[in-house]
Amino acid sequence: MKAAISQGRSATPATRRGLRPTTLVAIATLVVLAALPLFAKSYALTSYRDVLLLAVFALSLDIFWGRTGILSFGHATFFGLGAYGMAVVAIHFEIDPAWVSLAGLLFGVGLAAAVATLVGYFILYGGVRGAYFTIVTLALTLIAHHVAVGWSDVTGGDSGLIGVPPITLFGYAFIGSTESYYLALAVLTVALFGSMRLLHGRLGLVLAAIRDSETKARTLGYRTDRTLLLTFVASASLAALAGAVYAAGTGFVAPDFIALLLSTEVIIWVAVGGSGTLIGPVIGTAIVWKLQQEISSISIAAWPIALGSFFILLVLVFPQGLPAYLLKKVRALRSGKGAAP
Amino acid sequence: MLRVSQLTAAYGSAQVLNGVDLELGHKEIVALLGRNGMGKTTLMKSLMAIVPVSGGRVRLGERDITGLRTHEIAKSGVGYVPQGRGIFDKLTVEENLRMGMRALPNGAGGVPEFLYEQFPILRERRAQVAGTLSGGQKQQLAISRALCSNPKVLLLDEPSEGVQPNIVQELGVFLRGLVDRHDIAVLIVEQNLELVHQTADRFDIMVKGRIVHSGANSELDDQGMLQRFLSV
Repeated sequence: MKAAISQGRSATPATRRGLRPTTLVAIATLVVLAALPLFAKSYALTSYRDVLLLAVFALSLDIFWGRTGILSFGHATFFGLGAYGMAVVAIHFEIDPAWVSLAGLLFGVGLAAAVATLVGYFILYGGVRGAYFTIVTLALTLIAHHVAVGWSDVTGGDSGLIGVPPITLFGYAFIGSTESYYLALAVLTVALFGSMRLLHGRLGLVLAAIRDSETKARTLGYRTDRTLLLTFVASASLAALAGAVYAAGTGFVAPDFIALLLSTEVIIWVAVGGSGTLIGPVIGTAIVWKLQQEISSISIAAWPIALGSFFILLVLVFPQGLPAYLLKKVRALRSGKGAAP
Repeated sequence: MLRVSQLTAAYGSAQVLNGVDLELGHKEIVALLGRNGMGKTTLMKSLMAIVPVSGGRVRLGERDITGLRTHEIAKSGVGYVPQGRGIFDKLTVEENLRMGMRALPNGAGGVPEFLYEQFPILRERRAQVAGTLSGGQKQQLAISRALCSNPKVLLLDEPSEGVQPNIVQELGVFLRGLVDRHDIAVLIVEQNLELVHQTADRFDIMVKGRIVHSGANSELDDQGMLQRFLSV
């Protein structure tokens, strides 16, 4: 049906079809990342591995926030549940070392999915949207943080849990820095292409429509609250997966993993890279991480100040994210020049 | 086809519908007239459960659809084109039409060919972002999208609003042809009496959340009656 009627004036200025530049950027980025171990030192590689997993975390937020327009301020809760789930299973239970990673992953991700389903059901089916959703999820992070600090028998309290074993899957242990780097890259690749495939299809269309107007989508027969809940749970599960693999990589968990600061940081990673683009947040995470290294090396106090200032700018000046803002400026500049030949 | 009895609805403590009785027969076009603020749009919204109903019944054919949720009502066979058209501005024309197919019983299908024949502009502009269409084109898209799901009843809220006169005329012809050729009934809220005259079989007049007068199309020439209920 498509091919038969594509003749004529299909090249309208507002066309949205054609090659997807984000897919090309994604492939290019992953190729560069795959080649990175050839040039990087072993120590640096473990840092890069952590950045990749934080990028998966940013991607998970983008799946929900970027596509539904509803901001979750509680995504560190799910990252943290994944990380703590992994650590608690590995440390408190005596499971065969060959299976402990898998059990930890399942428990961490399952825990996050369960919490997201429970909380998401009540607030999304209850009609909570917009800023109220953000506030409720913010409170969720605070509660989760308090539990992580307070329930010290299980979580290790302030000092967290040390001794999370590296990921072992089907008898193969990802111990070395190169191995664990590639494991993280594999997680990122699968998550990135999986979410792109899903969101470029029918689900993406429905989410775009819901973002435009949820009521309109409902009058066309869509169960929008269910779609939003499923997206939220999927997003939370991916965040938990990132958290679980992260904890296995660093070998410990701490209350920082489930704190408000991390919830804030992940929003900034997504905003810097461009929300809704999926690959953008991955690149944004790397950029912010690099900046953090540079700025913190000047003064440790400078980083939180820079972060806070950026957050204010984000809300006031470019709520659509940095790339969208820059793109608009560039376009305005161009059309300004083009108008006076 | 659609039978509404004693329907009431309120925004908070403000009662807007005070027991609406309305019937829409098979293959019939009924116009809902009334001045602004009399509850016409609210009635449409309560039929779709966008505004919660506080009392009364709504039957679609043999089925009682009172109390169903919005998406269930859509799936049971009610197509709705809200005031201001309600298309998704950021989606393309084709994506808008694809969104309209959800309510089909089997959930799949293509855009009915007669829509493209009727509104060739939709095929021509299928890759264009819908927000950039003209008012008339948006209305054609909105009606087409509602018809993609093959509804039994079509609710149209002020389709002539912001549409140039010759397109309004075209819409009227289209609606007449639609009920002649398809199994569908149309309830149309409209201020444009010319369009009502051209398309409707009969009309109901709403005053303060109630139907106060019903009449056949021919009665629309009765200036005294129009003066009394609509002050025109």
